[in-house]
Amino acid sequence: MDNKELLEKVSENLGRSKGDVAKLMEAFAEVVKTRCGALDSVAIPGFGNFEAKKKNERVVVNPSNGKRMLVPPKVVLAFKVSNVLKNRLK
Amino acid sequence: MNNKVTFPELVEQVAQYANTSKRMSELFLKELFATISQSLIDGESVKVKGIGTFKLTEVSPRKSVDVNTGEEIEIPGHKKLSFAPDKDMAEAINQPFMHFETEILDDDVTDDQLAAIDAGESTEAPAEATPVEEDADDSAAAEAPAAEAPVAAEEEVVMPPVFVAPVEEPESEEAETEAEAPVEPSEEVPAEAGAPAEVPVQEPADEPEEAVSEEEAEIEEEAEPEPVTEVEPSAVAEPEDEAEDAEAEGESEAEAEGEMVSEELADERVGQEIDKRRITRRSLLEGFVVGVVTTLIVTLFAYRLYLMKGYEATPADEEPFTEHVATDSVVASEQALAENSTEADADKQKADEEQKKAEEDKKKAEEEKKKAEEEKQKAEAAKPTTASVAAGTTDTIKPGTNLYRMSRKHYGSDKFWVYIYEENKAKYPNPNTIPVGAVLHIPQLEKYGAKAGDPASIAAAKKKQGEIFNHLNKKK
Repeated sequence: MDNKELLEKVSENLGRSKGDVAKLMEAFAEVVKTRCGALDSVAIPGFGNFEAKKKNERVVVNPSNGKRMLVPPKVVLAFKVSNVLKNRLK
Repeated sequence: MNNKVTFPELVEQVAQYANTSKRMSELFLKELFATISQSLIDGESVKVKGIGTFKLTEVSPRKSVDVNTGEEIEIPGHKKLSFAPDKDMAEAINQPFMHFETEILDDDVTDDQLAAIDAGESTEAPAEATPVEEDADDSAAAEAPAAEAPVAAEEEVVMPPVFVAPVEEPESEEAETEAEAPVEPSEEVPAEAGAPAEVPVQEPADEPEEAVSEEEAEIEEEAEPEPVTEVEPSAVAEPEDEAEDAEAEGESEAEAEGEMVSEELADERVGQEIDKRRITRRSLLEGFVVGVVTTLIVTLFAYRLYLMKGYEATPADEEPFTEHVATDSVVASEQALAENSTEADADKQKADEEQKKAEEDKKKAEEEKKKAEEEKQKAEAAKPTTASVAAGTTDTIKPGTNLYRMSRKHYGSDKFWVYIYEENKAKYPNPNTIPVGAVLHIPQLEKYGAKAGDPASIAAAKKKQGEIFNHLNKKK
């Protein structure tokens, strides 16, 4: 299911226009972006946790030419599924 | 930082961003995630613009081990939800580290140097650049964007690794005190435990255990050699307990150093109290172990002693039997002993009579007794008593047999092989190279003036054996 389908479904269920829903969706993305950008975690009950995780720099070796490379540290957005959803997915 | 945004907060913020009511925002969020969940449950992956893709991945069944029971179990295959953030989202989140790029390390950069850089990072102030940046400088690939704005942001993000540094420092402080701290408790120990405890403190844990168990073994030997399990450690003299205490203290020192140190730094008395408690728990466990070990040693000792006694009790002229006793079980040896004594009597009474008759009698007497016994024991016991062999007996050398075994079979002692050799010397001059299939005459021992089971005869046979070997060596 891509974003368009999702928008349609949600707007249908809510009885609101797609434009409104798209705006809300954008707002949600923005909230996650800012809060997780500040290393906070965003919890959604029954669904899961969005959290930012810092990965340390590390040295990797290119297996084909043996060159060592220093991979810089980075922050990645991780999603941890809640137990409720996890069990329903099994 | 590191705060959890709860659902109500999220609702509020989304409402703010979208300029709608909280109620609308809440309804939307609930509906959004319900829809996503439903789609996922239906087995469909969901792509949300600006957030990322939720995808289901199959996990194939795999084998594992039950942590509690140690049994092998199979984890059934299931579906796992994986999330890949949108490119926009990922970049936004990684904003503070955006300007970094993967650097190719020069070949001459060793791990030690990298470690040194890492160490430098931990001691440096948080405002300092990360090692990556330093490296970038080194390789003259420093980029313009590594200017002020990103660095400012970096200060915030770099915080976590820097927080680690203060943790390390106290540890090193502890490490210093560690060296001193353990000395104190070890000084206390001898005071408590007295003379026997001194050795355990210096020696590894095993030694005191053994020393104690030997003492114990002596005590136990006089009484019952039967194994006593858990009662022992408490039943045995005090030195053991003391030694155990010392051990326990010594060990708890070694293992729980870190904790102990901190405790002692905080308050020595409190630390000691906690230590004592730990020691009692430990000594209980160790007492059990010591008990088991000593039981083993005691039983071994007792068994050996028992065998020794059995050896002494055996009539001197029945030596072939004692050899069997040594190898047989205790029960078997008891039975064999009983037989031996009767045989000895029979021997003396009928010494003047013909030997064959005596043997027949013996056999009869034995057979009566052995009826109750197992057949195997019968066979074994029977062998040595057929001490003299009917004239003209022959035996064939088979693979795996030698003169020793043949001798044991016919005379009950392998020393008498010399007579078999003597009898067949003409045919087979070297006892070490008798071909398989050779038919050997088994002589009657009387022919050589020997008597089965007679120590004097065995000694004579030994002497003869030496002569034969000397002779053979000279030939070579």
